[in-house]
Amino acid sequence: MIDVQNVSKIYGSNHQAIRALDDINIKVDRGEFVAIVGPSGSGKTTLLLTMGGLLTPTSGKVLIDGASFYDVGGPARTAMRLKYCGFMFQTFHLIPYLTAIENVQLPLITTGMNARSQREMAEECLRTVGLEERTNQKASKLSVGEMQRVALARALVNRPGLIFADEPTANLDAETAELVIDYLQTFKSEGIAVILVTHDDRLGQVADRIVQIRQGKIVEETDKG
Amino acid sequence: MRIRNIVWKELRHRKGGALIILAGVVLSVMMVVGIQRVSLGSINEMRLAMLEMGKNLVILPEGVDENHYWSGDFSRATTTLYEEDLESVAEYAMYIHQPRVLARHFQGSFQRPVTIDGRRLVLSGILVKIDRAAPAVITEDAQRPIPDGETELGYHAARQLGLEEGDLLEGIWRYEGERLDAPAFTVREVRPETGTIEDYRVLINIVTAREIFGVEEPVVNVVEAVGCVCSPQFLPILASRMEEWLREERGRPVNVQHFQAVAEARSAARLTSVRDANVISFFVILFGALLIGGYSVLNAHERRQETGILLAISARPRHIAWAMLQKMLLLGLVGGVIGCWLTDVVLRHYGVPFVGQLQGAMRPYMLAMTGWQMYALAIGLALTLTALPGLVGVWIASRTDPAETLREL
Ligand SMILES: Nc1ncnc2c1ncn2[C@@H]1O[C@H](COP(=O)(O)OP(=O)(O)OP(=O)(O)O)[C@@H](O)[C@H]1O
Ligand SMILES: [Mg+2]
Repeated sequence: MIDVQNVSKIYGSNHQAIRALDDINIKVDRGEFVAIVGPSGSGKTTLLLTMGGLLTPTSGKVLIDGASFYDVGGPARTAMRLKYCGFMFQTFHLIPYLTAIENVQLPLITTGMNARSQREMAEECLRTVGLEERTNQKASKLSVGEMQRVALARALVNRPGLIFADEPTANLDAETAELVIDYLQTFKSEGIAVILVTHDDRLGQVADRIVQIRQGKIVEETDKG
Repeated sequence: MRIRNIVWKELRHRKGGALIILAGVVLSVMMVVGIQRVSLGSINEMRLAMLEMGKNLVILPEGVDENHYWSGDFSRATTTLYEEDLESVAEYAMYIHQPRVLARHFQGSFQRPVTIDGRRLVLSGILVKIDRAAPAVITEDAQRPIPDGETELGYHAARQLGLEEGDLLEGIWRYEGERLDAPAFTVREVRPETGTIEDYRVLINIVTAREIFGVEEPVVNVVEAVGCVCSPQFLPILASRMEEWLREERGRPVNVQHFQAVAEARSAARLTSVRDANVISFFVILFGALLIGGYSVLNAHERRQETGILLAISARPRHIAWAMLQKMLLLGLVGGVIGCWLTDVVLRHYGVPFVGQLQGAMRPYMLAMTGWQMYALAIGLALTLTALPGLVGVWIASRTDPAETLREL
C-alpha cells in the first residue's frame, strides 16, 4: 500500500540544519496497524507528515500503490491525498464555527459531489463513531472526546486506504481513548492501513507492528503478527 | 457543502472583521461618491452658468447695470429699448461682418420684479422663446412666443407658488407695493433647476406683460444675445462697439454687458475645486485600501489553522484563494450598496440634486451621469477596494504550509 524508500528530511540548511529523518524505509500493507514510537523530537510527526504527502522529503521516495507522492505537482498530490489518506491529529483541527457534520464533510467539498450525497456520507461516518446525536452541533461546543470522534469520522469520510494519526489519544481520558482505539481496530479489520504515532502503551499493544525511531532513524521494528 | 458555504459561515463567525471591512468600504464609497457627486454637481452648475452666459451679450437700458440684471430689477431704467432695437443689433452684426450673429439669437424681453402672493419673482414677458439649453441649434422653429394665457415657470418660482404643470397661476400680484391687475395663467411648463436667476422667472407673452403694467409702446427693457457664436476674444470688442453704435447712430443710450470673462473665471474656479475633490478622493481610497488590506492580512493569519486543515485534506491553494476573494467581493458588494444608499440619503438631506435627475433640454450640456451609472461606478470601486488590497491576504493564505499549521497546537 505505502512504501517509504530511503526518506531523509533535513530542516533548515548549513550549520543550522536538523536531520529529522535519516534514511527511513517502511512498508505498510492494507489492514496493517503500525505504531510509530520514540522520544520527543525523534522525528515521528515529521515521518507521518512525509508519509501523508504533506511534507516534501529532502531525499527518498514515498510510493502509494506504486505512485510517487513527491514526483507529481501540488494539485495531483492533493488529489492523491484525497483518494488515499485520512488524517487525525492530537489537537483535532476542527473548524470551530462549523457543525460536526460540516467538519466531517470537509474532505468532500472540492470533489464536486452534490450536497445530498456529501451529507449522507458524512452522516454515515458520524454514525460509525456514535455521534449521530451531535450532527448539527457546532464543533466548538463539543466535548473533547466528541471532537476527536468527529475528527475520526472526518478521516474516514473519503473512504481512504490509509489513516494517519498523530497522537490521537493524547488529549483524551482513558475511556474515550479506548473508544478511539476500538474504532481504529475496526478500520484495520476493514482493510484500512492505520499508521499512528503514539506514546500510549495501549495503542502499542493493539498494533501489529511497532516502529521505534530515535534521532530520525528506525532503531527497532517489532512485528507482533 | 462547498468552500463558499464555509466562507459564509466564517463571515458570520467573525462579524467584527466583516464589519471593519464594511465600514471601510461604506466610508470610502460615501466619501468618493459624495465628493464626485458634489463636484459633478458643481461642474454642472458651472455649465449652467456658462449657458446663462450663453447669453453672452445683454443689452440693458441706461441706468441699469449688471446687478440689476441679476436681481431682475429693471424698474429703475431711465431710458427704454424698443422691439426695433433687436433688428438694429442684428443689422449691426451684419454691418461688422459677424455672419454668425443673427437676429434670431437676440431675445427681447420686458422684465419687472413682482411679488405674487408675497413671493419675489421676476415677471418676464418675452417676445419669442429661444431654447436656451440648445443655443447652438437655434432655428426659426425654436423661436416661438408663449401663447396668451399661459406661463412657463422657473423651477423655484413653481416650487414657491406650489404649482405644477397644468395648474392655474392665480394670485395677488404687486409691483413696488402696488396691486397689479393680472389675469390667470395656465402653467404649461416648469423649467428644470439651473441655480440661476432663471429659476425665479415667470415667463409670459410680452404683450400680456406690457398690458399688466399698462405699457402701450413696444417696449423691451433687455435684449439678450443667446448663444451667438462669436469668439471670446471678439466679444468685448463687439460689446463696446455695439454700445457705441446704438448710442450714436440709433440714439439709444444702452449698457452692453458681456459675460465671457466672468464665465471663464468661474470655470477656472470650478476646475480647481474638482481637482481638489479628486485629490481628497485619492487619499480616501488609499486609506480605505490600507484598512482593508490590513484586515485581510490579519484575517489570513486568523484563519491559518482552518486554511491549513483544508489544504491538508482537500483544498488546493487556488480554492482557498478564490474563497477568500469571494468573501472580499461579497463584502465589497454589500458595502458598496450600503455606501450608495447612505450617500444618497445624506446628499438628499443636504439638497444636492441627484445628477441623474437633470432632465430634458439641459441634458446635452450636462455631465449627466444617470443614477445607475454612478452606482455602477461606486460598486465597481467598492469591489476593487476589497478585492485588490484583499489579494495580499489571499496570497498569504494560499501560501500557508499545511504541515506547519498541523504541528501547531
Ligand atoms: N519546521 C521545522 N524547522 C526546523 N526544525 C524542525 C521543524 N519541524 C520539526 N523540527 C525539528 O525536527 C525534529 C523532529 O521533530 P518532530 O516534530 O518530527 O518530532 P516528534 O518525534 O514528533 O516529537 P514529539 O514527540 O515531541 O511530537 C525536532 O528536533 C524538531 O525540533
Ligand atoms: Mg510530534
